[in-house]
Order: sequence, then structure tokens, then C-alpha cells
Amino acid sequence: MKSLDCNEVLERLWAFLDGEADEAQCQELQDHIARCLGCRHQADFEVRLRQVIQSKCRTDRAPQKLREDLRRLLSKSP
Amino acid sequence: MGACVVSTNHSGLTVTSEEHERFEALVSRHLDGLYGTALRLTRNRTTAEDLIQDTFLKAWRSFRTFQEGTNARAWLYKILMNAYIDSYRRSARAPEMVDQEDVGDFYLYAKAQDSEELKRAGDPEEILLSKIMDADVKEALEQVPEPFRAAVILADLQDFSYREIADILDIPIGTVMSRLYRGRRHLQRLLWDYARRVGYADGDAPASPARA
Repeated sequence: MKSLDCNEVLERLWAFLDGEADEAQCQELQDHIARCLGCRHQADFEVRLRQVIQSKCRTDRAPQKLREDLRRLLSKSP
Repeated sequence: MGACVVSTNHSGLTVTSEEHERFEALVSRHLDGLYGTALRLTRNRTTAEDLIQDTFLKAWRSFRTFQEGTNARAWLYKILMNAYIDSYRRSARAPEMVDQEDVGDFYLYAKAQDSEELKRAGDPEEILLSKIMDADVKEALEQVPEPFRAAVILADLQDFSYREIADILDIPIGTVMSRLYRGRRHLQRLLWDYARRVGYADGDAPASPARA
């Protein structure tokens, strides 16, 4: 079987990083990224970018008042 | 609490306070995530709270048919997304976004590699990431058009799998992927615009304070 080139790896990179690459390809993608500096660099960047996005966007907490409103709503809902 | 108060719901079935408590505990576990999602979708605190209350009541009404052991979190998000699409999404018509330029999937990385200014400043990706750390990423995300934004929120902030997102939004997996990737691309473009505005990244509109 012909191994994946960089373009083919990049086409599948998001699926791979999302843990959604199919099993057969997963190992191949992993191997390529391990030995190809360019692809590894790019994959690392996407991973870190996602961490930044998560750390910036996952900060909201439901207001206490909303929790109380929901409790009240439920007590009135049979 | 504790005492088992029995009341009757609209379909004449008995509801126990125990069921109330079980439901409340379930929602409570996921409320921060649901609220954050509602906020990014509606872009407004009051509307987000309304959407959560709607979701809560709809979920409660179908709680009886909810099977213990099924994916409770995905079930709640599905109700949230349906309520949002039914009542809150403005002009749910065709995608608003047009790709003006043929950018690859990895917009920011490509731009970082191309930026002379970033290269001069040292490690381009490192500098760019630290710039984005200072950016209002929430605001950028909220500018990603629907329906791409929903896919990004569900995948990148709520960690749902493609399969789960397909179920939540009732669309094929291929559509999940294309919405998600487009959404990410769009978000990266917005973040690049930000980086360029604040400096550190060159482009066709160099950002000097005087011209801001």
C-alpha cells in the first residue's frame, strides 16, 4: 500500500486530531506525523490553538439566579 | 426533600418528587456547558437564559421517555439545539458565509508561516498563539456564521464526537465535518484579523495605532 503524502495527511489532520480517523489510517497518520517535521509542526500548532480557544471560551458558569429560576420552574411543572 | 410527594402531570401520570430530583441533578451536572453553548449561540445573556428555560421545560416533558443509560448529555444538547433552531436562530436560511479567498483548512498556520513580521519577531507560531491568548476569542467565535458555529461549539468546546453531533443536529456525518471545518477556518480567519489589527502580524492592512 502506498503511504500517505503530506497533502493527504493534512486533508485528514482534523479528523485525526479529533480522534475520528479510521483505525486503518490512524497508525499511518501517526507514523507520518512522527517522522515528518513539517506535518508535526502543523499538528502541534492546531492542538495548541484549540487549547487556547478552549481556555478562552469555556469560562461561563450558569448564573445562580438561573439555577434558582429552573428550580422554581420545575416545582411548578407537574 | 425526602418525602415522596406525588402529583399528576398533564398526561395523567404520576410524578414523584424523586423524579424531580433525578431530573434536576441531571440538568445541574450539565448546566454550565448548556448555558455556555446557549450564550455563544444567542450572543445575549437574557436570550440565553430564556433558551435554557425552554430547553429545561422541553426536556422535563420528555424525561419520561428518556431511557436511563442513553447518552443524557447528547439528549440535552439535542433538545437545546432544536429549541434554538425552532425559536431563536435568526434567519435560519442559507449559510451566510461566502469564502472570498481560497484558503486551506489551516489558515492561521499558513499565515504565520508567510508573515515576514512574525518571522522577524522570532517564533511565528508562538507569537501568534500568545497574541490570540489576549484576543476576545468568544467574540470571534460568536461572529462565525450559523450553522458552522454550532458545529464548532459542539466539537471544540463540548467535545462531542462527529457521530454525536450528527445525532444532535440530525444531519449526516459528512455534513458535520464540512460545517465543522468551515467553522474552524472562519474562526481562524477572524483570529488572524485580530492579530493583524493589534500588530505583530503583517498583511495588506498594517496596523499602526494612528490608522486604527
